[in-house]
Amino acid sequence: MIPVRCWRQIVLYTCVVVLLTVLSRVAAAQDAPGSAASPTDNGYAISLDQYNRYGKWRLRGVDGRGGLVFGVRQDERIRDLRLDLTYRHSPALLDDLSHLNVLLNGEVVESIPLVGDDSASAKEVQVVLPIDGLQDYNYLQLQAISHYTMECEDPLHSSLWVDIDPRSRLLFSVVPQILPDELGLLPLPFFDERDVRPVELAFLLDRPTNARLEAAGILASWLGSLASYRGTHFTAVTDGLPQSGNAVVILGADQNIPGLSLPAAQGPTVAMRPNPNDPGGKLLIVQGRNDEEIRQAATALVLGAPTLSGDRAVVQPPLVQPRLPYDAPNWLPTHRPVALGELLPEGELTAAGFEPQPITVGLRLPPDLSDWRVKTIPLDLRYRHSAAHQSDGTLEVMVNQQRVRRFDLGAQDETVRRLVQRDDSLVRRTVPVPLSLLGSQAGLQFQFLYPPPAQSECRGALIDTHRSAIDPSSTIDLSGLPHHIAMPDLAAFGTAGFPFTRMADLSETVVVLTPHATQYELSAFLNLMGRMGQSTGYPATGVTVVQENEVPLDKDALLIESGERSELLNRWAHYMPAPRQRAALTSDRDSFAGWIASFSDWVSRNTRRSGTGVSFTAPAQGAYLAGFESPESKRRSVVVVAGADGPSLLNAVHLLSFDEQQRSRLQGGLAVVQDGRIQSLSDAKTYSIGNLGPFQALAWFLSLNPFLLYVLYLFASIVVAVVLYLSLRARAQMRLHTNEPDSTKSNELN
Amino acid sequence: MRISFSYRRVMRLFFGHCLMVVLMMGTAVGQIPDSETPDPSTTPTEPMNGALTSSMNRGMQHTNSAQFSSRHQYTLEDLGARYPFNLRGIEGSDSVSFSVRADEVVVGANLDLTYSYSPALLADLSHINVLVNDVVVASLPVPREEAGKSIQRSLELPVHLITEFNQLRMQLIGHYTLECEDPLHSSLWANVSNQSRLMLDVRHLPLADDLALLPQPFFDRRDARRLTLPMVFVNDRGAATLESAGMVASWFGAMAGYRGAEFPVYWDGDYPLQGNAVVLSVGAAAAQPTLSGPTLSITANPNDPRGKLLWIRGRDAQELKQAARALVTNSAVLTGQTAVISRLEELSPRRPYDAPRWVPTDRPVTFGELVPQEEDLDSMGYHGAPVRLDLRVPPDLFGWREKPVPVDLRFRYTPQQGHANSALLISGNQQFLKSFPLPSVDQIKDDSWLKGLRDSEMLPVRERMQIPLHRLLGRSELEFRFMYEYIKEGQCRDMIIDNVGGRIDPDSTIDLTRYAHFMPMPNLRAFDESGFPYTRLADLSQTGVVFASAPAAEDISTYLTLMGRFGDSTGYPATHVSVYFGASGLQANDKDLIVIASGDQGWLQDWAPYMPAALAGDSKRFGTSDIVFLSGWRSTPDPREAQQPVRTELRYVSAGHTAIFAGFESPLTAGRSVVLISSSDPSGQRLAVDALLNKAQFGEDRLQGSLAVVRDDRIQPLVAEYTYTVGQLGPWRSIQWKLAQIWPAGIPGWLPWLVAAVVLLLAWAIVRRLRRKPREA
Repeated sequence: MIPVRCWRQIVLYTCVVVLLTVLSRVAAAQDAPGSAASPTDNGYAISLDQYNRYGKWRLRGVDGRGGLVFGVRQDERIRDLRLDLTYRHSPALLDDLSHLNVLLNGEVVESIPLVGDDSASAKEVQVVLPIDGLQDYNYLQLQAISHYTMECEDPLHSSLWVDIDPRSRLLFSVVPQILPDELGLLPLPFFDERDVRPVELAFLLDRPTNARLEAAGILASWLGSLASYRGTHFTAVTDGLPQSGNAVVILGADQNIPGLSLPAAQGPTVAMRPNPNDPGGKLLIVQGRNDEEIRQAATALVLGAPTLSGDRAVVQPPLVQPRLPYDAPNWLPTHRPVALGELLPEGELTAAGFEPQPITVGLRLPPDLSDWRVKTIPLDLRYRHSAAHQSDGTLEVMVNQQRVRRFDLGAQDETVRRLVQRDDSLVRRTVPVPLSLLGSQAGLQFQFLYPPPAQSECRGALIDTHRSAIDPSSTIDLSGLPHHIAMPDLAAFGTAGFPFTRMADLSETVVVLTPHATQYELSAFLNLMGRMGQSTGYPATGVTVVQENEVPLDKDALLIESGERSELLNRWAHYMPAPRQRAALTSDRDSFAGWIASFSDWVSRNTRRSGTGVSFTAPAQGAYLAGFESPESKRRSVVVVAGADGPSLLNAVHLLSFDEQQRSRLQGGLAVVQDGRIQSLSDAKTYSIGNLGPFQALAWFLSLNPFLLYVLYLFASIVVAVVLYLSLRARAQMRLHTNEPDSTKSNELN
Repeated sequence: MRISFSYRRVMRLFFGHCLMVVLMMGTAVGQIPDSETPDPSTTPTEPMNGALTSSMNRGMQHTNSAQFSSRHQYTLEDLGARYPFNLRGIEGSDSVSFSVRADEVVVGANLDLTYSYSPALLADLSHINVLVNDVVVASLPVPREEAGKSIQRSLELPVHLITEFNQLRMQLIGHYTLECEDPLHSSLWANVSNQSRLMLDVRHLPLADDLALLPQPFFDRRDARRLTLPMVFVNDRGAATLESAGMVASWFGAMAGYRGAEFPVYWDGDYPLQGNAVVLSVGAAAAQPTLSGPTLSITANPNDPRGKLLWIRGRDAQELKQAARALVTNSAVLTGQTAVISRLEELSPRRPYDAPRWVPTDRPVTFGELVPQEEDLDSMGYHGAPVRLDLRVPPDLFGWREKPVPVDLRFRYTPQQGHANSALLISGNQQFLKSFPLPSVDQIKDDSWLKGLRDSEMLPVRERMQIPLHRLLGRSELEFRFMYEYIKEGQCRDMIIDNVGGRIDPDSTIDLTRYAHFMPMPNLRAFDESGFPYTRLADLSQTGVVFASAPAAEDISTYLTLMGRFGDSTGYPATHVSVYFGASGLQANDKDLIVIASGDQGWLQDWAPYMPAALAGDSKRFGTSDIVFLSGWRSTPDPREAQQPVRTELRYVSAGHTAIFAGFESPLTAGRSVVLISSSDPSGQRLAVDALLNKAQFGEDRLQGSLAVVRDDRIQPLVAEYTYTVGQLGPWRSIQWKLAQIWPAGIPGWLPWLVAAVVLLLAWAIVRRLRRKPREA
C-alpha cells in the first residue's frame, strides 16, 4: 500500500495538471476567433412574462409586490445583468414618500423615485443588477411603496397603483463557462432547467439510415420531455458540425468527424466531447459498430442518463420491460385515484394572504377518455383555511380559468361536516369536474379569496393572518372511464401527440420519411419527436422509422414530407378527409336526409366515407395536416404533416409547438397552415378507436347509426309482440282446457 | 490538581499568553461513579519525559512564528439569517447570534456591512444602529443622497463586548415626517444584506489536557460549523476497534446535531497535520505510556501543538472497547489527563423505539417534555419568535386509513382592546395546518368571566386539533405563531406598546398511541432521516456493518459518518454495533445489515441477484424506473400506489465515479433489511458521505426510494419498489391492506353482493345438507 502522504502528492500533482489543462483550454477559448467577437454577441434578453406568465404585475396598495425567479445557466458566467424596466404609476402618488424598489434575493438594489409630475405616461429605466451574489436560482422582486397623503391613509386605496410592463426585460451578457466532459452532468449542458427559453440544439445526421434516425428521434424526444413547457428548436444538419454551441452527433460506424479524435467504438458508446469549432460547446456523441448498436446506445443514454458518469461509457444493450398503453409518466394514471400531493410538492399547495395567487395543478390526461356516458369525474377535495366565521371568504375551483364550483369558507354546513369526519381541521367535499372541460391538458386551479382586513382610514394596519391550503391527500379519480375516441382528431394530435403517444415509448408508431429526406424534413421529424416527448414525459425508445416504399404494418403512421407529393401519399390521397361539404352533411344527421346518408355510409362502409366525394388537393403554399384511418390496417391511424416546401413544413411544426392559440384551432381531420394561421377544414369523424365494453359499444354503434336503431326497435317490438301473443295464447289454452293432468301430477308429488 | 494548577501558572509566566503546554502528571484518575471505592488497579500512569520535551519544543517553534491567531469570517447567512434583514417601521430590528469557542479569544472584530435604506427617511432624525449584545456600537447616518442605493461600510466592533454567546442586532430608527406619523408606514424601511460579513480575529487559548473538559476541545457547542474530527487507527483495524470508533462517532454525532459530523480516517498512526483527532490504539503505542487497562487520555497533537489527541487505548481490543464505552456513557465524570477504567457497569439492553430523542408512542406526550426549557413555549411581543417543537417520530408508524394525530392544545394569549384580526397560526414542516382566531375583548361576546382577569393576564384557551400523521413522521417541526394586529387608535395617537404575548401550555399533549408499527420497505428516506430500521434499537444491538476483508480508509469514513448520523437521530451512542468483514460477514444472523463497499466487489457476488445495482470498478449495473422521468417523486398514503419498480436494466463501462444507496431485504432472514452503500472506487465514498450529511450542493435532493445514485451535485432516486414489510398490523387492518393491493381504487361495488350471494349459497347448501341427513339416517 502506498503511504497516505505519497497519495497526497499524487493527488496534488494531478490537480495541478488538470488545472493547467483547464487553464490552457480557457486561454484557447479566448484566443479563438469566434469568442473574440464583441460581448453583445453573447447576450440575450428575456421578458418578464416569459418567466411568469400569470404574474401579478399590477402593484397595488402601500406595499405592493410582484416577482419572478430566474436561473443562471450552468455553462455561462454572467458578465453583466440589467433590468430594462418599463412602468407606469398613478399620478396621485406623493413624490417624497413613494418609490419603486428593485430587490434581488431580498436585497434592495435600487429605489426608483416615483415622481408624479406627468401622470401615467410610461417610464423606462435601466437597473444594473449586482452579479456577485447570483445563485443558480434568483428571486427578483419589485416592490412599490406608494402613498397619497401624509394624513390617515387607506392602505388599499384605489389610487395607489404601479403597473409594470410585463414586456420589461432582463438583459444578460454572458461569457461561456467551460464544463468538463462529464456524462455525469447530463442533461447539462444540452438542456439546462435554469433556462426558460426553448431548447436549441443541432443534430448532426450525415447520410442517416433508418436506425440512426430512430436514435436521433429517441434523443430528440428525451430532450423534448425535459424541455417540457419550454419547447424545442432542433435543427438537423447534414454537413459538418455547427460553428458554435452544442450538438448531438449520431455517428455511423464508418463515419468520422474532422477535428474530433474518437477511439473506434467497441460497442454501443456514448461520449461527451468539446465542439472543435467552439470550445464552449459540447458534443453528445452516440456511436456503435453498426446501426443497431447506435440505437442501443441512444436507448441506454435516455433511460439511464442519471446513472452515467465519466466522459465516455460503453454500454450493453439495455433490458427494457415493455410498456403498457397510457402509462406515460406525464399522464394521470387511470387505474386508481391520484393524490394531488403526487402532482405538486406540499409547499406549492399552500397560499398566504387574503388574495393569494391561485394554487394551480397541471394535469395531462389521455385524450381518449370517453365522456360519452360519464360526464364528470370526482375530485375529492380536502382543504384548510383560516376563515373564522361564516362567509368569511370563498374557495373557487376552476379548470382553465373557468369556474366549476365555489364554496363559502366557514359556512355552516362545514361545522356539521367537521363533526362527522375524522379530521376537523380540514374540510372535505366532492367536486364533480366536467371531463370535457379537462380535455387532454388542463390547469386545475384553486383560488382562495378572503375579504380584505377591515380597514378604515385611521384605524387598523395590514396584518395578514390568512393562510389556506389544499391538502395533499385530496384525490382526483379517473378510474373506470373507458378509452374511446372518435377519429380523426387532430386536436388530440396537436396537444398530446395522440394516437401515437398511447404507447409512451411510441412502440406502435412508424414514422414515414421520404428516401432522401431534406434537412427540413429531418428537423420537422426531430421537433415532432420532441413534442411527443413533451406530451408523454418519456423518450420514444420504440419508434420505428421507415422509408415510404416500405409499407407500415399494424402501426399508427406519421408521414412527414415536403415538396412534391410522394407516391405513397398519392396512393392514399383519396382516403384523406374531404374539406367541408362532407362535414356539413354529417352534421345534420338528425334530418331524414342525414339518416339516409348515414345508412348508405354504413352499408357501403368499405368504400370509406371520405373516399367518395371531393378529394383534397394540397395547397400550393404553406402546409397541411390530415388524419385518417390507415388504409392498410383497420383502427390504425395515419397523420400526414406535409408542406408545400421545406421551410413551410418546419414553420408549421414550430407553430404547433409554440403558438398555443393557433394550436387550439387545430381540429378534426384536415387543417391547413398558411401565413402563421391554422385553419381547420373538416371535422368529420370516420372511425373510432378504443374499447367501450360490450354494452356501451353497442350503444355507441347505434348512436352513430340511428336508422339501424329504428330497425332494431321495430324488430324488438315484433319479438315482444310474438312473445306476448304466444304466452297469452298459452294462457288462454290453459284456461279453456281442464287442469286434470296437472292436478294429478301435483298430488303425486305430495 | 493543585500541583498542576501552579505548574500551569509557571508555564504561563515562561511562555506568555501564546503558549501553554500543560502536563498532567497523571495526578487525576478517571473514576466511574458506580465504583464507590477506587479500584487498586487504577494506578497513575508514569509520565514520559521524552515526549514532553519534544512537544514543548514544537510548541515554541510555533510561538516564534506567531501562528496562534487566525481570522474567522462569517456572512450573516452563515450565522442564521436566511434572508436579508428587512427593518420596517420606526423601530424595526433584527438580529443574529454568534459565539466564540472556548479555546479561542477574540482580539479584533470587524463588520463589513452592505445595506440600503428608504429615500423617504428624514436624515436628521433617522439612523441605523448596530448593537452588540444590546450595546450600541455604531449609528449609521442615512443621508438623502445615498438613499435607495446599495452602500458598503466597514465597522470595527469593540472586542470587550464580545463574550461566549453574542447577539449582533441591527435597528432602524426611522421617521418620515415631523408631524403625526404612522409608526408602521411602508416608506420606513432599511435593508441589510445577509451577505454582510463579520470577521473575528481570534487568538487560540491552549486548553489543558484534561478529560474533565470533554467534549471540548473536540466538540464545542459554541461552534456552529460542521464538526470534522479525524479518527486515527494506530495499530489495529479489527472489528472491535471499528466498533469502538463507531461508538465514539455516534457520540460526537449526537452532540453535533444539526451541524453534522464527519470523520476522516487516518491509518497507522499518521496524525492529521492540524487540529484535533481521536486516536484508537490496541497494545503499546509509540511515545505513549504503557497500559494497565482500558485507558483514556489527552495529549497534544505532535503535528500541531494547538490540536489535541484523544487517546482511546486498551491492552487488547476488548479493553479498547471498554474504554470507548466509558467515554461515551460516562464522559462527565472523567477528569485528569489520563483515566484508566477499572470497572464498567454493563448497560441494560434497550427496548425498541426507546431512543432518548424519539417521541414516545406508548402514551400521550406533553409539550413540556419536547422542549429543553419551558420558556421555549413562550412567544412575546409583536415580532416574537414563534414557538417551535422539534419532533422525532418513529418513521414506521402506519397512518394508512387511520385517524389523524389528536392534539390537546392549551394556550394563553393577550386579549387586545378594540377590533383585531389576530390569530394563532399552526403549521407543520412550514405548511399551514390550522389557525385559531385570538378574539379581542370586544369580540368575546360572553365576557362575564373576563372580569376576573387582571389587565396583564393572559386568557387561557383549550382546543382540540388533528395533525395528519405523515406530516410528523421522521423529523418534523410544529410551529405556533401568535400574530397580533397592531391596533391603531387614529392619527397622532399611535403608540405601539409591545405588551402582547402568547404561551403554549406545557400540559398540551400529542398522542401517537393509536398507530401500529408497520412499514413497507425498503425506504431510503426513513434511513436518511432517522436511520431506520437500524435505530429501532437505539444502541444498534441488531445492526451489523459489513466491509470488504480489507476496507479502504474511505469506507471506514462513510461508516463513521453514518454512525454520527444515527447518534444524531437517537441521541444515544451506538454501544452495541457489530462489524464484520468479507463475504463471511454476509452470513451474520438475525441482524439488519449495512454493507459498505468500494472498488472490487467480487465478495458480494452471492448477493448480486438481490441487489438492484452493482458497481465494481469501471463496470456498472443499474436498475432504473420511470422515477427518473417524473419531475418529483412523492409518496402516497398507500405507498404501493406510487411505487416505481425496475423497468430497465443497464450495464456499462465507464471511468467516472458515483456512489449508490440501495435498500433490499436480507437474503438470509426474511423481514431483515440491508442497505448497500457502494462506490465504484474508494474516492467515490466521498459522495456517499456528502449525501449522508445533506451537503448544500444537493439543494433539496434527499435520499429516497429503494435505490438512489449520488453524483457530484445531485441525489437521484432511480427505483422506488416495496418488496417486504417490517412490523405488524392489526388483523382487520392487515386484511384491508391486502385487499387494497388488489383493488387500489377501493373495493368494487359488486364485491359485497358477490360475497353475500356466496354466503347465501353456502348457507343454503348447508341447510340442505343438514336437512337431508336425518332423512337418510
